[in-house]
Amino acid sequence: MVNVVITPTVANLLKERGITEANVKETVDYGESTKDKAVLPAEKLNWAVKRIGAATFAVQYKDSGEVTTAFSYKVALKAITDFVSEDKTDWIYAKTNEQMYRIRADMEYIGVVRAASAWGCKSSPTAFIEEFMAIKTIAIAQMLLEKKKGA
Amino acid sequence: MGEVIGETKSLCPVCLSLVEAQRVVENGQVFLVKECPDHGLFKVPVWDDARYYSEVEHYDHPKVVPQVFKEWEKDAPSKMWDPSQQLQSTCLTVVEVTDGCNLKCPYCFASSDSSKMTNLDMETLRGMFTAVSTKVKKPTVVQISGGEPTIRNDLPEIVAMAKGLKIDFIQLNTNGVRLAKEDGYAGVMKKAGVDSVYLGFDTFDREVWKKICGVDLLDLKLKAVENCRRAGLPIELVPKIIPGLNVDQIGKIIEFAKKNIGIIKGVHFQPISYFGRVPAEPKDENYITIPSLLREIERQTGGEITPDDFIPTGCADVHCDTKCFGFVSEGRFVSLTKMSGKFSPDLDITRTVREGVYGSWGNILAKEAGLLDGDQPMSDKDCGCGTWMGLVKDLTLNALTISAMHFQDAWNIDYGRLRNCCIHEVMPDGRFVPFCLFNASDVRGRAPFRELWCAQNRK
Repeated sequence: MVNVVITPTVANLLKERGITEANVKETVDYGESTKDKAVLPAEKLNWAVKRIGAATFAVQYKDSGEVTTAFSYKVALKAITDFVSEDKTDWIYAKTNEQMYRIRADMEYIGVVRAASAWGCKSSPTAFIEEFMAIKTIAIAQMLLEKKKGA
Repeated sequence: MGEVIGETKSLCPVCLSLVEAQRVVENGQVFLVKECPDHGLFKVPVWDDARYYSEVEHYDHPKVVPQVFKEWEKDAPSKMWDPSQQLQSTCLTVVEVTDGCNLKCPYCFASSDSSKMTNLDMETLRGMFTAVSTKVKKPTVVQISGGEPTIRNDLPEIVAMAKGLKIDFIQLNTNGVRLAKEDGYAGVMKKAGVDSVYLGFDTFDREVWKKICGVDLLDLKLKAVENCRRAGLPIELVPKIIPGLNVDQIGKIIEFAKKNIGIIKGVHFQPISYFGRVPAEPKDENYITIPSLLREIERQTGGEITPDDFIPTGCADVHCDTKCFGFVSEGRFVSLTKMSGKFSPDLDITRTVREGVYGSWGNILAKEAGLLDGDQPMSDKDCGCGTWMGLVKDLTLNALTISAMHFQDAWNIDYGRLRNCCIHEVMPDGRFVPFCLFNASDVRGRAPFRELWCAQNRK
């Protein structure tokens, strides 16, 4: 297992985003124990994703355990629907050592299902949604839906 | 007298002399009380909810000391104004291209009609637009106004000149008569560079149109909206709200905006201000203040939109305006205002407001969602129908802003508010004047800064 290290800068980021250290540790532990994670060998970087309660947490961390970023989103994966194998990324799926590429996944939130773009591969059940998508598009979409449903 | 909550300066509505004034709370309302040594005591309602008056101060925002008023220091009309007291830079400029009009409304800020025909020449206008593009930070927002600017056949050339001089966003302030009557005119305006239309739209009641504008304009207004839709020219509806005439139309106007979302981007209510041409001197019951307007919005929308959905922008004085931003979905207005909370003290609020006008709030939300970020992948499969990005895109296209700004007249002008003014009229000589001061007129309708505008044009 990896010892999770959270610097003061990352601690502030977690606080801004409402993510606890426990969420981070549980996500990293899951990725390490199952190898259901993505790795970037050249950068010695890891990317673990875990659904905890009503949210999905994503943590990127170095081999040393130092967390570089963490983010979360409420949309839940329903199904991976499309594989765009020609749009590749340097991230590798750790369990099968398969290079990942662009996928499209149906994600659901309060009864609304929409497609999101992510990284993945045929051997991975996990959709690795990028940070910008999670903290921008999906965050705004979630908020708009919440407001709409609450109106 | 009630409780004095502040000292300020104001104007005598008879002679326009600067006089000392007090803000006074009486029976839960805020009044401006002042005395002119020559013309006596005046007491005018300015805000009909004293508790809310102090609550909105939470939204005040640091101002940026302007440089544009230094040019007045030598020859400002000192009886009315000390330019060195201004505290806020420019967020929006108004350029009046004519003082003539094709209507003669009983209520008119500019006292315009067809007997007036002072059209600023192109060289003067070039100087005014240049003043804006050199003195105001980007994005520059200009409202082309008058009188009625569309009476000028060279208006497309004027707009094109402004765009050529790097004015980023041009809003056309119009009664819509020519937009309605002349097929293709909306397209001509759009092609010239007009980015949106600021369309007077006071009521759905034909008899009330006759009282406010002297003629039933309803069909013309609706035709103007349709012609703008055909041309893809966005509209902001601008109802002036006059007690006793069209307060009951507030809900209908909002409903009309919702039904025409996509082409109508906003409704900007203007509680009546008594400058320019007005039928009579105002009494207390002739004013509707911002809190009353918000309560009417709540009542007439069945609670769909509440006063709690509105906050001042904090760009001008917090008592000058209020704004609610949201989107229309399945026929309902969904407010997003409070998601933004109070702005950070480090924010350049005038820039934020300019960007808001320039980009519309829908675009700002889209930008926040990464839709307008050129570095991110944007294939059709990523942002088309059925995607999360597509959902944000659809909802932001239905963005609607509902706002209100209560301009000050010589009866209720509070120089404490005037100091924070961010809407500046551009004079023919390129100098800037706070909007309410430019329009301030006495009981006979005489407006010194408007007279100066005419005098400068004749030179």
